[in-house]
Amino acid sequence: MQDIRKILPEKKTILICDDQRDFVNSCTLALRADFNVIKAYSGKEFMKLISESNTKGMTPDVVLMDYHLGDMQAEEVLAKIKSLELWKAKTKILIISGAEDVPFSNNAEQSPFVSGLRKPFTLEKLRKEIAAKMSLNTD
Amino acid sequence: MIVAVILILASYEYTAQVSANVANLSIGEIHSNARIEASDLAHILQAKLESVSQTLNLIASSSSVTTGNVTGAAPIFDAAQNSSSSLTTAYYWIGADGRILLLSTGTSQIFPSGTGFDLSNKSTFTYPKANLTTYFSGATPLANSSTYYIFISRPVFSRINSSEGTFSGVVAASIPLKTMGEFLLSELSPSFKASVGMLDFKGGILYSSNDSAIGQNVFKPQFQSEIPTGFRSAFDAFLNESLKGNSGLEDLSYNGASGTLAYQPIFVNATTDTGARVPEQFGVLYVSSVDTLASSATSVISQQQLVSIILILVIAGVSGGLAVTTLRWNKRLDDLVNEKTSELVRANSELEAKGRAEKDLMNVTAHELRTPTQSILTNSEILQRVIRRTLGITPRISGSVSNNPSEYDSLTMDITPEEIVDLVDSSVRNASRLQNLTNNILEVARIDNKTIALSKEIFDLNEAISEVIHDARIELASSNEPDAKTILFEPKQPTLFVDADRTKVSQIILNLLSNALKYTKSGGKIEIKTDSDASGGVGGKFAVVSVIDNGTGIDPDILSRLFTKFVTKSGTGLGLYITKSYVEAHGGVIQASNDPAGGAIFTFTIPLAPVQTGKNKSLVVQ
Repeated sequence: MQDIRKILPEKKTILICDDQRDFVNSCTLALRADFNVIKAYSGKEFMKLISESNTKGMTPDVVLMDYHLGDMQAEEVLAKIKSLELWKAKTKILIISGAEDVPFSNNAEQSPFVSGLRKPFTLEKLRKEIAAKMSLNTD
Repeated sequence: MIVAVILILASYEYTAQVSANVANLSIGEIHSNARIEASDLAHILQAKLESVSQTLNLIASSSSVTTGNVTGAAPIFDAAQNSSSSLTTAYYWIGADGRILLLSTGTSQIFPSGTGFDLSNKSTFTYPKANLTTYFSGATPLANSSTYYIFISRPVFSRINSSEGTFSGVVAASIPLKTMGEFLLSELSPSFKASVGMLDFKGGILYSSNDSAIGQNVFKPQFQSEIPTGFRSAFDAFLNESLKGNSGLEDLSYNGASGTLAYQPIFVNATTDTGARVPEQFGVLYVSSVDTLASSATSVISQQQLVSIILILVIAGVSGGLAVTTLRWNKRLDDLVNEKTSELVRANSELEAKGRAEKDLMNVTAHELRTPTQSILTNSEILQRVIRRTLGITPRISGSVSNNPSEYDSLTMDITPEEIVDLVDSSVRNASRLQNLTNNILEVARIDNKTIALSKEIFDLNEAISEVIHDARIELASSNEPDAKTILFEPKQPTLFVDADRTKVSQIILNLLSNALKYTKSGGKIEIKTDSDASGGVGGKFAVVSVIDNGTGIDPDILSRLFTKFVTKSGTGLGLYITKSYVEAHGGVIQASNDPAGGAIFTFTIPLAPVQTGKNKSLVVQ
């Protein structure tokens, strides 16, 4: 496995959104060496960041988002992201979930979540998935 | 060849039976509809009577009534009448002398002592006085009126002069039978042509579509004389059978036409002086219907209509000048078939419910197990790398050993000691969450298998609550909650000794407190109150505990199913199910409601110790 930082020309930005604060915090520790990390602990916080992104010039390269956000589900946030041209063009989405009823699928037409990551996963697996999302060959 | 012969014979048999089967199917449908309607209506009526009875219980235990404060009680009676005015016409308070003290038809009328209408010789007063339990009357006329009512009444126990609580009168409510019957008719499915009749368990007619029949008794000469001689003994046998307290169904035939009569007993709970709820037979509900398809097959529509009238009128006990000559019973074999079909349907729905429960269990546990596991795994991986780097050990990630130690340095080099402590704390927190989930799943299995064992002892409930609050405060202080939440404890008495399983009672309180904390915003407030059901007096049977928060309240979508397994907006939905099971295992009850001002209120009861010990402990309130 290659270090993402060595491959990326510049430090990318990742937004981590999960209502499980512990997970967001430990993931931040694990990824902050390679990414600028933005944290959101709820769907509402994420939506606020999206609304502010134009004025603050912040559009993440990757979003790591739990399906169940406590106050809303990922679809609602995704719909908002898709309505913004910059986000739609730039941001890669990686959905994660521990639930059985999340519509992960390999067929984009069947599910909005082309690929997802089922909890629990190792850091190695997470880094691999993020790299794959960014079209990087990590092998 | 043999097979061919069998097929031909089977085909012939099939063709020959088709027409008969069509008729039987229609009869079967009418039977099941009649049964369902009778059962539904009986349950609806039972719920209505229960709600009035419960309202009377609340009124009787209100402090204004138990202390004899008539003026103070007026708003309670008015509120009771206004809330059930579609069914009841009035609520009454009758004094110990049998005279009305207060009558509310929505607005209270107060009678000075000794001046109110005298009901001292009426069953509405004498029965609850003599038996110290709830009374459900038969059809009872009001004085100088031909309108019949049902009266529900229960005794009041004074808390003023005697600490034991002595009989000090009766509270009652009146329900016009015509209103009740019309309500039942309105509840009948519009697609099901039927009529409704109702008897009390002594044969008194509580409801008929003909007003003048209400109040008669089906076994008295006036009614008996209307039954055709040849049919009388069979019909009386049917009435006796239907009054035994079981549900059933009979087909009636008259000159080739037929109709169906389903009956369903109505049971109501009477509340005794000890607070126990004893089911009592109230009456029998009859639903009659006509086999319309069968009648067209026999081309006796006019007779069919006549039978329909007879069915209703016979139950109603009205002559109407009908010249009925013969009615005979035609007990059908398909009763047995219906019974077996019901058993199969029941077994099938039980299996489906079991399948759903297993799926729910899998979904809930999958999410709730994986979430803390994820945090523990991520934390452990980071700590593993930090420790290995610190100790100069080659990195090992997911079982593979890297040849390049510097590869992971970027991950771990800038981590601070505080962050390491946070990771360890987070792991402990999430491991504890897993432990709770495991315990809950095991406890639910014990509850479902009915293997819960109580280890009862006499202890001070207030002290147990204080301990739970103390622990909760410590946990709150160590949590990553940005702002504090206030927990207040307001016991009405310094000590409140209960006879219960201390561990389980503490768990009940912890579950309700955790729940309140979860749905209370930062800076919010949770109050816990305790009292005895005697409200400070001696002789109470139960301790009453309320947990009140000013949080987001209970989602109305799930309020009615709140204590059911897996019903939740977040989490496992097992905590409140376990809580309710624990309360009920002690013989207590638990209720949840939303405070109109905001927040949720949970109240439960636990049996008090038979004798409150004299130990006057000073209460430790954190």
